[in-house]
Amino acid sequence: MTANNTLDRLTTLLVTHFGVSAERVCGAATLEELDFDSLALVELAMIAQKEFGVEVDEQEIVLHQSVLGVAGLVDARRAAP
Amino acid sequence: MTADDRRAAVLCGIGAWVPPRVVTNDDLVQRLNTTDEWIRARTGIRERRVIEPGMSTCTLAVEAGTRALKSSGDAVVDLVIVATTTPDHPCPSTAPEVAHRLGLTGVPAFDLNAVCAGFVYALATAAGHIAAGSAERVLVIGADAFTTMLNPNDRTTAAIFGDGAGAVVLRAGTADEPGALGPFDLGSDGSNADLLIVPAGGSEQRGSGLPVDPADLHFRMDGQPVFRNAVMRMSESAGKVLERAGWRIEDVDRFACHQANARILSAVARNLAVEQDRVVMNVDRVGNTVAASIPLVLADAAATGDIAPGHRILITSFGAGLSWGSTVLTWPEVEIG
Repeated sequence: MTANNTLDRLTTLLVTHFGVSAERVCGAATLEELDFDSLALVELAMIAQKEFGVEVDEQEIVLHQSVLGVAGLVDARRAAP
Repeated sequence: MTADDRRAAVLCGIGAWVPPRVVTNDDLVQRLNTTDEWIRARTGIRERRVIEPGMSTCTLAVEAGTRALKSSGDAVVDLVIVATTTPDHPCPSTAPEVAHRLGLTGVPAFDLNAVCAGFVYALATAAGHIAAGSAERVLVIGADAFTTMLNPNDRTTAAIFGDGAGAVVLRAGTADEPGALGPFDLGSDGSNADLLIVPAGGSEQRGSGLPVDPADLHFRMDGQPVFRNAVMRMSESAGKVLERAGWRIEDVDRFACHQANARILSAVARNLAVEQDRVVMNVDRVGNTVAASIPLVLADAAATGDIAPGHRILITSFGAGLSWGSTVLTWPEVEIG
């Protein structure tokens, strides 16, 4: 449930904040496929921090990572003690 | 609103100058093995101005200073501050020569180096002199020929910077006048000094007794942490200065953010909840001009009418050091020099 919720919120962020068209966003899509570059990764890390309240470093997010992978990272960070 | 007759520094003149030589992205793409599209997507920059042989930071500063003095209607000041990271020489400072060429020989003049935050630091310093009564009229110039620091083959920096200068004249007045500089927020973080650095050429390398690696004489930048710090520090600093001024973000008519890169500008504006149409921008035409960035964009926007008298302006800047600074003012009736 949590994972789905994070994925939904992340998808919304990608559409509203990064201007990715909703049809292109799916869990399997990589950030590179969504036209991310290294600066967009930093922005995503900063926004994830704000949105989900977890510390995410841009070094932990890479271009070939999928949207689901990023959601998983956020969830793992939230579950960490 | 109650009258505030505290002594304050009031902006009464502004001018800017960029060298005539235009370098477009197309001029750079072959050498940098990149494309116009790549440069524009990452930086928002289409072209920049670059000095030619025979020019230097002093040239830029004198041109901008002349225009600011003319705009103020009075060619006399009692202090000249030049914010720059690219002085004509490691020694002496550039400001005395600038003052001399402006017909101000004898006036106190010094350089101030806080890199891209240098102009805001210089405004704060000038405002301090005026508040203390040690100056009545101050010429504050931001001037950099930063392209002279670049490795022409480094695409992470070569496409970003341009040369230019901007200047303002501040006079003693009162805090409730249009043009009065508001509170300042200044800060630094030396633990991140290596994120934006020219490693060699200073006392550390010269004192080492080791030979110089020519690559270390060029500016280098670590893009991702710079982006993060720039967005974070400018957002925080802008927030602090608004609080000190008693302004809400919706009171801000125009936001003048250091023209580092269009992506950073957008991210800071979004963080602060400032709509894009309130953000003044010329980075597409001049690139990042370091200490000249803020006065150049103010002069450009005021010249086109995008900034108009009565507009409440929020200024914030960030650069190597790390250093950052912010202030506010209400735009006065002023001719652009």
